[in-house]
Amino acid sequence: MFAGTKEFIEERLKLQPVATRVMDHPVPRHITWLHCFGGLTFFTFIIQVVTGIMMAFFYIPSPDHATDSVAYLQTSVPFGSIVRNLHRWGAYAMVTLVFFHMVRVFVHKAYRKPRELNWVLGVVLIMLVLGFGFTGYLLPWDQKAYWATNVGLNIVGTIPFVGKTAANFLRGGAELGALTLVRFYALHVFILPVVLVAGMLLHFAMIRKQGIAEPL
Amino acid sequence: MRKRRGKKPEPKQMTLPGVDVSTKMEAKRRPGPIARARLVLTSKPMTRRRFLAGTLGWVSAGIAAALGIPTVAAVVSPSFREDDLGWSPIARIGKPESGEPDLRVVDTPVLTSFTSLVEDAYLKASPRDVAVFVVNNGNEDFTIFDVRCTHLGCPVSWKKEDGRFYSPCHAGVFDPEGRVLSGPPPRPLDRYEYKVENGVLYAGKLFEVNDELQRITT
Repeated sequence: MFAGTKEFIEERLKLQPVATRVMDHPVPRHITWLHCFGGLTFFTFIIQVVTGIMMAFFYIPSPDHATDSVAYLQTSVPFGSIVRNLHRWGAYAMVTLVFFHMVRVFVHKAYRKPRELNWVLGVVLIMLVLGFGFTGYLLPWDQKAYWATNVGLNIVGTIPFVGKTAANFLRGGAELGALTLVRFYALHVFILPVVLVAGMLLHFAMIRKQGIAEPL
Repeated sequence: MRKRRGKKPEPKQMTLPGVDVSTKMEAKRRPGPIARARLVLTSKPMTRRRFLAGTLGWVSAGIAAALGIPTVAAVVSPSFREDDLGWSPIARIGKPESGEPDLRVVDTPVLTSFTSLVEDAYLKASPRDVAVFVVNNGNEDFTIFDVRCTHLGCPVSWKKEDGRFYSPCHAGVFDPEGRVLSGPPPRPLDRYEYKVENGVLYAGKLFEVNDELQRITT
């Protein structure tokens, strides 16, 4: 039934050279397994996107329903607990792997000229990943989530001069409540993903442009 | 009819009188998946590059399945949920108090509604108002019609003068027992199970009936 589909598309769009250029890229000889942490981080990001989209089919960012909708997904939906725990462990794995990636780049001194900009962007990306963790932690809206966010926002409040304003902005007021939950939800599923994807594309593009750093 | 994406585009054949065009070339049979896999594996020498590319492909497919199957199954599974309202009180059968429908009138559909507390996913007790026509057939025998027309679900109304239910949308007409008299509805009006306990009429499960008014869904 689909025989000839590939040829049909290929004849019109000529995608093969593009695919070869993107995928069939020679890497230098000095590459080791330690160089895999960045790619592994990206892989966990894919897991987070897939499982996250699936959970969006069930989750309600409202104080009335958040906990119940999460509990329903966890206990009543077939495979629901698997998908939710994939998201949870995927988050731990992503933070861990991105940290290993940073340590690898640091130890290999791969941040030196001409790659300073990519190092700086990488630090921004780590902050975004931690932002994902912080905003996602509140969403189940249980005691742990509530008090952890309370502490987190108080830490934000200790930033000199702008801390109080920043904390109130994230909190949606002086008290942690319904608006905080929706804000964190919007950040977690709309703002952060868009910014992170844009940053990652730039990160990868710079690696392609500059190549992988020479061995020490 | 022009084939746009045929497997093997056949050249157009002119039909000349007296020329037999039925002797087509017999189509070459496409080998099955196992035969094709064997062909792929044996036709070219196995290089390290090819082995790694194949391994990468299969491992990727495995990961995609491990991630995709639970995810899709979880999202699809609620489509098999069944609705169960349980038993909900409609009204007392005796003399009505203010606001209650009078169910003492025999053989006349009375429009009323009941509120059912249903467990809707994570909502433990979600109130749902259900509009029904209750017909008292006498001797504690009742018929409870769902107001929704069986065509596309518009609420039917009872016209006393005609003794008919009319759907407002596509001219569906039902007789007092819910049979289709005219219009597009595929089956008679749906009904609710009922029971009478301590002088109170309860509505239960919704079910469909066929043209002989026999129950067809459980």
